[in-house]
Amino acid sequence: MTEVLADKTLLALLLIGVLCSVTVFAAGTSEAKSAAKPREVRILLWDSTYNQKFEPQNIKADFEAQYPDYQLVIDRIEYDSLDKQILLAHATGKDYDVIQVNHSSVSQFVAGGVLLPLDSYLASSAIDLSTYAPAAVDVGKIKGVTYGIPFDPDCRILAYNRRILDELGFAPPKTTADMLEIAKAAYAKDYYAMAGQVSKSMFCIYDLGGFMLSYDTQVYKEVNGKYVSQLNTPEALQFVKWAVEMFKYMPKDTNISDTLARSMFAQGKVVMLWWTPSQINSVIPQFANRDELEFSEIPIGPTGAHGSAMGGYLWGIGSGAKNKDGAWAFMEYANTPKVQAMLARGLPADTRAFDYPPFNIPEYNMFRKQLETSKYPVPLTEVFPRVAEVWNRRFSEALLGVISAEEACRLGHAEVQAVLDTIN
Amino acid sequence: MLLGRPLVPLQKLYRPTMIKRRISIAPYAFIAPAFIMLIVFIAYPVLMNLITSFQNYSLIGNKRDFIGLVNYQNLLKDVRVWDAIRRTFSWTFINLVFALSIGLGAALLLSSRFNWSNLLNAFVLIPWILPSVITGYIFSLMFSEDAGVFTWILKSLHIVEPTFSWFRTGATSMAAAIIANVWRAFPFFTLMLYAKISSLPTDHIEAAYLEGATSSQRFRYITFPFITPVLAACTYLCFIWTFNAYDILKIMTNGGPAELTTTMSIMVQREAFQYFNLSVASAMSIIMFLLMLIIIVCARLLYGVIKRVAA
Repeated sequence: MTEVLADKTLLALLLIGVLCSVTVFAAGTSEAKSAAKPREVRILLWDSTYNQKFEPQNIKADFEAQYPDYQLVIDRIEYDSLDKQILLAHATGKDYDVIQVNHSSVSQFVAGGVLLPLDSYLASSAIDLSTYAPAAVDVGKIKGVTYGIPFDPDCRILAYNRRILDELGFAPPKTTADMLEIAKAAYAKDYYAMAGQVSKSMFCIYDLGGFMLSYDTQVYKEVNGKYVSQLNTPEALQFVKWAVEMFKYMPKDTNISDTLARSMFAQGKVVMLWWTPSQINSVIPQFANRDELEFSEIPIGPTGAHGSAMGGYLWGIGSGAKNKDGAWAFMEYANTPKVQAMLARGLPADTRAFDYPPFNIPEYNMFRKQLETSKYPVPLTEVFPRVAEVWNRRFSEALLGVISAEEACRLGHAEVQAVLDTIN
Repeated sequence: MLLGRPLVPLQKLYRPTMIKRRISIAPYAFIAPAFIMLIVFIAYPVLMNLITSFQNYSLIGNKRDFIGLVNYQNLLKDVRVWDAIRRTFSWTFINLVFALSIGLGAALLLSSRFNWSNLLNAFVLIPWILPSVITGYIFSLMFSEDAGVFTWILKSLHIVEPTFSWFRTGATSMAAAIIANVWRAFPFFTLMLYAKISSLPTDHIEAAYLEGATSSQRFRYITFPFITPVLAACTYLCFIWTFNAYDILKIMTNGGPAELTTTMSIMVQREAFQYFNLSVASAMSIIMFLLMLIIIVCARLLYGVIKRVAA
């Protein structure tokens, strides 16, 4: 009986030994395999960038062919959740290697320690920022340190319906005063002057609010190292009065989505529209007659100021990225002029990329010209989104006639300055 | 000694056995998965939410210090928060009144068993089945100034001015969102109340007929008391759902124009996922929870008092 038990114990020990050996050998084999396997580069993209550019242009396969040591692992996210996903990944220690960063979020992410400084990489890199739009490069820098490299900036130009202008007997607008004249005449003939979503907080910054740059002022500026509201200036008041007048000739629905506004423009119901580069692909096909659509630079304001609001995206590397070298390899690949032209939904940041498709067609000429004088509508601080919300409330109240333009500027100035003082 | 047998001591007779012990563990084992789920998915988040509301935690920044009641003090000093609370109550009570009234009316109509009532019964749930986001988009289009069918009808009948827009003022924007929400919510209450009315004993109604009761008397003295418990349950559910409602308002008005339709739930979402101030958003959500709790407790007390008075 004891012998049988001893045999069983021996057999059991033998089996355990075999099992352990197999596990160790298996692990060894897997390790040996993984040594030869390309290292993963995790990248987070806005789904529009992925769907419209990354996937159709076969960027993943092209990158992996040129950099066989790396394999791209792509996560896609919708626009509204992009910042949230970046911050949550950072908070949980799962930073992405490469991040598509919205220009308005750079300051916030730097304040939160989400982005890696890139100057040491740039110093020994082939990326040459001297041919990039200077304003787009500057937005990636915080206190002189580079955290993002622009690849997809945009700016606004003015699109107008030539047929309606001819019908009304007007030439294309050169000044904001011309725009108002056209707006009045158009509304009298049942056309809307322009269209946009008033309830969107950035309406007061980029859309109708973007024309503030033509009045040679901004919602706030940096003055001697402090951020100061500019809404108490005569220029700001003059702009708000112009906007209130213009809104009289726009649709009264405050919730019109950008898609609907553009659709109304394409249907010939709206005579003018602030126009971004991405609309070339999305709106032009909706026009029944393409010849009706023409572009001009953003009209000048009373002082001759010539402003167009910039936006767009940059590449950044997560501060906790597991594969920083792989991330930088992707950045070098993505910043060649040809690939940048393939990836940009708006405009390429590198002027050399305009020589490559799809940007080497006449539709982009006006944007290329406008980009030279374009600038970001305000300094992009970490409180920028809250400033936009606070100011849009007063701006909307003025447009809807709830308060006067003077009162909107007075209240807006105090409220915006209170927000700015939290970072001053 | 009883009937010739020796008496067994009680301790021995009821001595716990191994089998009994095993049986006593079983119920706990059965409820353990549900209990663990409750702790993980309800208790832990609620507790973390409460703790976070006393901190200065933001996804942007590395701080996570206890700051006591500062978040609550700041919120209660903010006039925009009070405006949002006021709007939340207006939104909730108007929705509640209309959704329940229309739900009750439709339930009574269906229970009258007119021709096609069975068909209508099947169709009545469609608004409830549709995702609220879809409802929001559909109603946004139907109310739009340019191509909306409702606006077109009102303008064609000269009920409103040719320049009328639902989304121009806070009041009309809120009204449009309420109409959409009521349309989406009432079928649930119709179904609940119709089910209860259908179980009403027929002898009660027959007796009332024999006594010569009018239809309003039958409703008041028979139907209404019979459905009151379900009506109360529906009221609580409707209150909770509407108080927390977010998607329809977000889609239809985005809190605008000029923040005039911004409710607490929209503020919480903005604070948490636009500004990433998780502590402030947590404090707001705790305030929302407490407000809801107070209303529900008061309503229950009132309901008890009314029942006692009626009895």
